[in-house]
Amino acid sequence: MLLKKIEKGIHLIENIFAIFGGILFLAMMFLGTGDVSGRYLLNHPITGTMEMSSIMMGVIVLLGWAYTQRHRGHITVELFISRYPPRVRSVVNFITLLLSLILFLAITKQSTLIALRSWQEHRVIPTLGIPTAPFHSLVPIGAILLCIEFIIQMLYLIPDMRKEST
Amino acid sequence: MSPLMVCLVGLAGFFLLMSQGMPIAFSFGLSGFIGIILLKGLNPALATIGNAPYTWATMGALLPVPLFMLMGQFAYHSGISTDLFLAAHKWLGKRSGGLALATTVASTGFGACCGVSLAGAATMSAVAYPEMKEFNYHPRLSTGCIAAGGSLSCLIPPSAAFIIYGVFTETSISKLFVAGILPGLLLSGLYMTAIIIMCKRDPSLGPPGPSYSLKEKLIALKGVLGVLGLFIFVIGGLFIGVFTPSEAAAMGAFGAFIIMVLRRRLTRSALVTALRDTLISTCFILTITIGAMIFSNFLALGGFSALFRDWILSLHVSRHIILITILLIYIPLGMVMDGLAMLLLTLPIVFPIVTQLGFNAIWFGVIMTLIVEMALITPPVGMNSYIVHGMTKVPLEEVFRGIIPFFFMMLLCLALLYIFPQIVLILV
Repeated sequence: MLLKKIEKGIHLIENIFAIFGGILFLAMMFLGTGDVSGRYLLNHPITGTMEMSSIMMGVIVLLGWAYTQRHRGHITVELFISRYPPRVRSVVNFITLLLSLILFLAITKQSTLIALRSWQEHRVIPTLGIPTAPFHSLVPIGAILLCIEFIIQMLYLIPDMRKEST
Repeated sequence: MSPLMVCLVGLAGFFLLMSQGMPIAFSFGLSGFIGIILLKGLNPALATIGNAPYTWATMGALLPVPLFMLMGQFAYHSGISTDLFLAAHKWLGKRSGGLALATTVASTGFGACCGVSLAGAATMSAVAYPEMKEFNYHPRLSTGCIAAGGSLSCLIPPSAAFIIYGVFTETSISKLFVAGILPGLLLSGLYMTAIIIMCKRDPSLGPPGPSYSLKEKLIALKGVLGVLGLFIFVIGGLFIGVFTPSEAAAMGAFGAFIIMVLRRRLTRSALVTALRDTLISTCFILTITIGAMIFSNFLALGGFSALFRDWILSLHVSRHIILITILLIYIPLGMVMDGLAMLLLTLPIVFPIVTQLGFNAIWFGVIMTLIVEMALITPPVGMNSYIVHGMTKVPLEEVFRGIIPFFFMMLLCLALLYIFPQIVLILV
């Protein structure tokens, strides 16, 4: 029951991030259009459009990691695995999820250190004059959310792995 | 273990993980991470995987990828592809095999507002397949031309494959886009030739449909104007240098958005689906890029790319034999790998060799994109074929049989571009 609640909470966060990402797409589109029209029609481009858009893309991708994983959006090759018997498939899926988890735990650890350093150093993005630290922090946030998503998916596989062995 | 050995083990590890259903992005990342640990120790490896996500997710040069995808999604939801098909249907439908020709024409047009091919194949499966079924088209012909037609959007700008190639080889994306136009049209023409020949030999494959009056034909063209205008605006602006690629992409997405509004197709659910699908595609493409960069960092540290390059360049054979051999290796590689992932994996190794042999970078970009296009339809891992199979419920074996003639047309196109590089370079 607790697990269900946690899962619900995590998925809510993922959905909020995804909605936020969708809004950022529109913002990127309007920003780019505004910049070009401003430059040619009003002789007044929007400074820092490229930097702002790049950061928006970063926010979309990093915060979208877990959402994409949940919707099986990360491309996989299912040629062999789709032919395995169900139980073997669950075991193999479990192992690859575990390996992905290890990778992203390492990413979480290292990117947290980078983000902490970034908070201490007060670095700013040159053309925009805004601090980089909040954006560096997106990597550990996105990575930890993805790790939790991996764990949820692994937990769902456990019954499948047991079922046919008994 | 020697560095070279580690690289080979790393490559084998990557293919093993990928074949066991681990997402390609994570297979790249994990095998690269472990490889760097073996070569240089834990700390450099952690530094690489800690920095790569932020660096590549915010890489400004890649901005056209999500924005052109957004443009494609808006174009798709504005019903452009359906209109294109209906217009082509009215003009070509009464010929033998006419609906298959119309599908190819519509896919070509849709390729001009879309950067990835899955949306094209999906719409044509939904729109053109039922029509072809009604007129008793052989499922092999109908699904084959949908799967192959969808892949045209790689060559016809805008195209994600060109953007990725341009960014990682420092080649002009605008020039690549322009270079892709004629080869894209050539391939589309070859597909149509194949359809006409097949239907001439066996008219039962694609029986003729009803004919329409000239007035009806002209009215149908109205639906095509939007696409044409958008394409000329975006690619034209890039061509004459009014926009950078990311600006063109933002304007293109905006243009497609306006078309969606004007056609009263802007509903809440269409907007949400468009944004959601763009989010997932953007996320997976950039995550694959992040993973591939970790992996190629590892291959570079192990000296694999340099060793391989020196070895190839030391061979005393004609540069054409080397390039043709490389291309022949790509075809089976594309069969087992996603096209873009293949591009990211191999470009750092292959591109320096090809340019040192004196081949033109833009020309090679178009050749590589054609290879990516083949990878999209060939069994066993042709994404487009899977989409068509999933949506039309025609058995996968039938779809794969259906693409054979189109695959040979791709090979023919490749040969033509190889022999006559002018087709690629004349507009650049």
